[in-house]
Amino acid sequence: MEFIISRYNPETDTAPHERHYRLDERELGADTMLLDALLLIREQDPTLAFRSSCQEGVCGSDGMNVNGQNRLSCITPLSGLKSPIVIKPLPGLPIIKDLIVDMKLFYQHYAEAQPFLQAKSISEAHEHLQTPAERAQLDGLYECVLCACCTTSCPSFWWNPDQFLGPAALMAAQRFVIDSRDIQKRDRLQTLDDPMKTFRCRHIQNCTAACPKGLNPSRAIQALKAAIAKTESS
Amino acid sequence: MQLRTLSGKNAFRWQRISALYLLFYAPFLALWMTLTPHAATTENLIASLTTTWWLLPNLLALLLVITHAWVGLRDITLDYTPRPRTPMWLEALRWLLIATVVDLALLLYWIL
Repeated sequence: MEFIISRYNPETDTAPHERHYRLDERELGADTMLLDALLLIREQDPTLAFRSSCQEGVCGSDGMNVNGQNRLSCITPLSGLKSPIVIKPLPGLPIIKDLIVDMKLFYQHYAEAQPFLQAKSISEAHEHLQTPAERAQLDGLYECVLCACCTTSCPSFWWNPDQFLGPAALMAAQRFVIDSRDIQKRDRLQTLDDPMKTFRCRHIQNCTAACPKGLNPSRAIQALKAAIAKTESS
Repeated sequence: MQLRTLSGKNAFRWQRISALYLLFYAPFLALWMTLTPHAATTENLIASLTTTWWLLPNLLALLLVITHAWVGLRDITLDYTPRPRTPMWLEALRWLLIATVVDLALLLYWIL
């Protein structure tokens, strides 16, 4: 099986370039994941750099562009990929080395969405309770692993990376806007009422297609925009 | 017109309102034109569209088309123009909008 991997070393290269690798099909089982293949390739070439931590789709560290689609390599079966497999770093973020990108901007936008509960002060006698229906509203929003597959596949983010928050941050914002325990809904919505932060989203749906966890950031942003539109101007 | 004064919410609302109106208006107009043989020529069509009971919905549609187009053009400007020149292009867009509205007002005055 052939792999074409984008390589870039800032100390020696002026631009990313492709390098071809081959793996013997006998080394690859039916349930081999792309990450397993990358680990085998790294045995051939120890200079190949990529991130991976939990190796089971929970930490979100091994996001990369595979055959034109952003994916998590640890939960991408090799059997579903067409050879040659072209692997590039996530688009739209600066490359640190090979398949490793600088996630600083992504995390800045995430922090800007204030992804934490702002509830009434906690009482030792009571937890912040929710009804099962209120809790169910958070399904499909809280499962994000911050792999950046959605944000880096978003053309609106490519056009305005420093100003548009991107699908992951906006979905996190929506997760707390609809949380029944949060008391800052109005402030959150007013902060997000901005032509650049939120309303650059054109619902291109790349984010939804790219999400390795099967989430729907586009629908979350649609709901967020509708909630912002319903708020009164201060 | 500075970027900070452009509320995303208002543009979003107007785009939705205009789209909703045009969603019903456009098929109705098409159907009406199909079923009204005397609207076949441009002169007859304009005369028919400016009759008393048709005038208000038509004018409203015209204004909403302009609004919808303006929001779209504004989005393109924000997305694609080089950042240092974006305020200049937004200002140009604002004057284009004003000129279009004035031009249409004069045209309507002349027709009516």
